[in-house]
Amino acid sequence: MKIEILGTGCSKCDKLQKLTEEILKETGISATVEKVSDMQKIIGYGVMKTPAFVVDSKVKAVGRVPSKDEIKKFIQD
Amino acid sequence: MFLAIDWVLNLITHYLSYGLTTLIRWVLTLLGRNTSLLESVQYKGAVDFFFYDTMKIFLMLSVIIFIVSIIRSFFPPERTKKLLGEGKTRGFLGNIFAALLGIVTPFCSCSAVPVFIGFIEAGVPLGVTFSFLISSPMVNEVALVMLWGLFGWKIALLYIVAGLTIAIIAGMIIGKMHLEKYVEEYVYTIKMGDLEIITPTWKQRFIDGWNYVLEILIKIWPYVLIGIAIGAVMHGWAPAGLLAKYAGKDNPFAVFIAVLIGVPLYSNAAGTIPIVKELTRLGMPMGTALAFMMSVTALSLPEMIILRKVLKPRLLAVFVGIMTISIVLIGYLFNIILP
Repeated sequence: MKIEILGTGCSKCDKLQKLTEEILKETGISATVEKVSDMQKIIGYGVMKTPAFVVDSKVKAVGRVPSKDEIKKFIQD
Repeated sequence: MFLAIDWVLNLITHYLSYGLTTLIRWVLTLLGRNTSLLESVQYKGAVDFFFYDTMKIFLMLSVIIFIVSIIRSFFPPERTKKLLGEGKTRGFLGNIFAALLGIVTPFCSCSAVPVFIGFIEAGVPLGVTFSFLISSPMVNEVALVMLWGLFGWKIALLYIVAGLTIAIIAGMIIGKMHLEKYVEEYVYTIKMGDLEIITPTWKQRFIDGWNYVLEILIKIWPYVLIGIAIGAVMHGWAPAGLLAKYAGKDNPFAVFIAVLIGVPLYSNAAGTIPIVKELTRLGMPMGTALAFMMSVTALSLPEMIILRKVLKPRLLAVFVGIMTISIVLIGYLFNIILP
């Protein structure tokens, strides 16, 4: 599984990345977490508001830091 | 209901002032200092002003930011982009529509670049995109609360109307100038993905609203406190009319200088508006004050640096130039028509 955190370097993006890594550690699910700050790629996903949470090229949340439970659900689906 | 809230605020203010004064008196007596300052009218005025205005502003910020956040959850930028790009709203109507949508679409300067590219890619004309980019940061909820709470709803409304007018006219001028070639080339080559708009549940809207209130309050509370504290000291000690000689209507450069001072005070509507309120009491005319506040919210160095990623220097200069001129003009206009 590939998780991408789309962000242009705002504090919320870092927060989302840390939260995601924490959850992966807790649940023991193996996935690669990649931070995407390239504007072309972000726009390519149709995202205009960062941070965004992307699992296997599917946009799950835009413009906010989802709660822990939400992230777990996104990963487990 | 407002009267009841006001009564409670006054009561709490009374007790907080009393508590603080007792504490200061105790410390001063312990140090063997003179406590006559605490008996002065100036001191009482300043302390009451500080507690009352602080509580009122934080209360208003919480309620209004929450409501604004709920309204905004219905207007994600993806939807705004679609509304503006469908081509039904070309020309003048497009600018009006974009300026209005700028108020309800959530926006921060950190997402200015993706929003700009997204709009252009969706076929939104350059001038219409600018109307949106101007009104969105200028007519923002923090500035509105501060204006409403400290100056009253009439001035807040005036600020909204003036902000929208500038956004519409500046966007139209930029559109008429045909500056499309001064947008960085790569912007036109980007292909935007189609994102399915996720409609949040009501529960999600409330959670997001509450989180947004916390986020904003955590970010701005020190500025609000410092701004109101400086305002309180001025309220207690600076006599009304002190500034009239320098910043009054007779000084033709006052508006222009005020706008220049406002640019580096970016996004600090929270800290500057309480001070501006006192400046008007000291004799700064309302037009000058409004122009100053607009330059604080609408023109900022960090946003220009961000916009430079998509605009060539020439277009950026045109944008800043038009904004400065229209804000200065609005300032003069209000100085003429307002009492």
